[in-house]
Amino acid sequence: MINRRDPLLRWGLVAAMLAVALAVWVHSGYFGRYFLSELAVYAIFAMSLDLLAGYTGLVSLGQALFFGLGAYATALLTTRLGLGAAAAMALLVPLAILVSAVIGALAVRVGGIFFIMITLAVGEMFYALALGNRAFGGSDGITGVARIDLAALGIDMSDPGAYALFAIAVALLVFALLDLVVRSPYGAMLRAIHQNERRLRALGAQVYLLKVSVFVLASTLTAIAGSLMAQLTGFVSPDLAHWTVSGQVLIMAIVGGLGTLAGPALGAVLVQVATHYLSKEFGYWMLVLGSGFIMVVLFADNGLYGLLRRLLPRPAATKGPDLAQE
Amino acid sequence: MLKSEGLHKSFGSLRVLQDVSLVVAPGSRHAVIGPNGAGKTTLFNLLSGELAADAGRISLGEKDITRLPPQARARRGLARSFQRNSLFPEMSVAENLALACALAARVEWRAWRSFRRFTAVHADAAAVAAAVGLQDLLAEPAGQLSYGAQRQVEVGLALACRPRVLLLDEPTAGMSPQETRAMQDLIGRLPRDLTVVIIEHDMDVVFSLADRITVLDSGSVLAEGTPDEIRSSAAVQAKYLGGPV
Repeated sequence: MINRRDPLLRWGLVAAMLAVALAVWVHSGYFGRYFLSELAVYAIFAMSLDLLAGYTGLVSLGQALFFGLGAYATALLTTRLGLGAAAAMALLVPLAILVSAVIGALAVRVGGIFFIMITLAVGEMFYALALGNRAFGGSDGITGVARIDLAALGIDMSDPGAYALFAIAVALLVFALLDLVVRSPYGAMLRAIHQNERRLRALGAQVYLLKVSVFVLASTLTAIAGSLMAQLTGFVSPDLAHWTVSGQVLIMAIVGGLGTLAGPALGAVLVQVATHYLSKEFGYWMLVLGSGFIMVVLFADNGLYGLLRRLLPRPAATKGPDLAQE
Repeated sequence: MLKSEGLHKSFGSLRVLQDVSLVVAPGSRHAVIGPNGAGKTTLFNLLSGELAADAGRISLGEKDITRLPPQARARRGLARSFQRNSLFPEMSVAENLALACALAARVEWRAWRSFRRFTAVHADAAAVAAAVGLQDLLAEPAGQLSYGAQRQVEVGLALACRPRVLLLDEPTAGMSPQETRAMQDLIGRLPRDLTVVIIEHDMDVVFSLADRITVLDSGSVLAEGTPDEIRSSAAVQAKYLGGPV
């Protein structure tokens, strides 16, 4: 699975996606640029879920909680307290760290299906809270969320083009950060947890703390994605925190290729694009999308990224020690 | 160096260990032998912290480690290999060993720098690989190695932790005679300041390496002594060695 060419392929794929995104940006109008922002948001969400599910093997079905947390915190802080979106984002980071540390400390004590169930249950609790609480706007949600104000830099964020570039820049930053993390000794520990947790413990690793920390990192990045979503649409509703959102992003990550970072980002883009266009063209679009999903899982050997890796020509086999940890 | 006093362990109504006391001197080569089901691996699981003892005390050096979890014991210098290979199958041999070396060097929390740049860690891993005879298989995924080579990685992982006390659970289990001899040489070459406790069924290996032997039988210590004492013990001969050796 692990390959010394992976960082190269990863960055290559991201560069290609960036090039396509910029071409689309240039050639599209209001809606296209708005849609680009949405793709960047889901790419951030899918990459952070990949760190958790793909690299560490902690499959969470509750990450929409943090997406919702980021969105609601931004909405409440900007509309109720009149803070700017930048200040809201600065405040929601420690909030997301705190909430995810508490949930993570409980959830990572158990593995496999029990971890999935706990994350699912906690996520649904947040959904119920957002739906039922008047302070959170109930099922109506909250409107009038402000976007980050970069007027000081001469940038008007109400313009969808400017906001799209901002969201893409954040997605790139998140990718670069996670790329560094997965190539670090810490990243090697995460992959080792996935492969043989018991042995890693016997080697002296603080597996529990490593798991809590990666849960916090992934969840905080997801909260940032949620904040970007709220700022994009100017609106939050409980739907953002529904467990089906967690499931959908997990599908994006699986379609793209778990444990590859760039794959889940690609998966997020393709699933969103397919959903958008198929739902306009076909009554049975879910059937088409579902069939495509099954094909990729059955035949692509770790998603679209795995397919790409197989299609690319292999360089001549290199002999000698491979000390790279990717 | 490593000491247990009055260890008890039961699984339900099955008493696996009863009042097992063991004193392992610093730098010694201490073998634990006994028939299948005598409780040898359970003893290792108690010593390494994988299982909690029902009663008794375990100390490492001066420190009581009875209540410490396995990772804390490993960080104090107690490393073990497993009877059944327990590796990171999708990682290369070099990556497997580098993981253990990174933990020994306490750099496992470093998240902002490529692992590749930790050259000292990779040099350590290469040295361990050479010590266990894996220098030509560094790039191979551990899960695709031959059984014997996987066994070498198993021991290499424990060694890479830079232990003060090394617990080896049947390092030659399932190996061919040549592989067994190579493993025997490898254990014989380990630095003398390293304390080694070994579970082994191959009596050639035991009597050539050990300077102290504990015989377990049905969860209790049947005899303890030097190889000569064990060889001449009537009780051990009757129970285990199957006649004079």
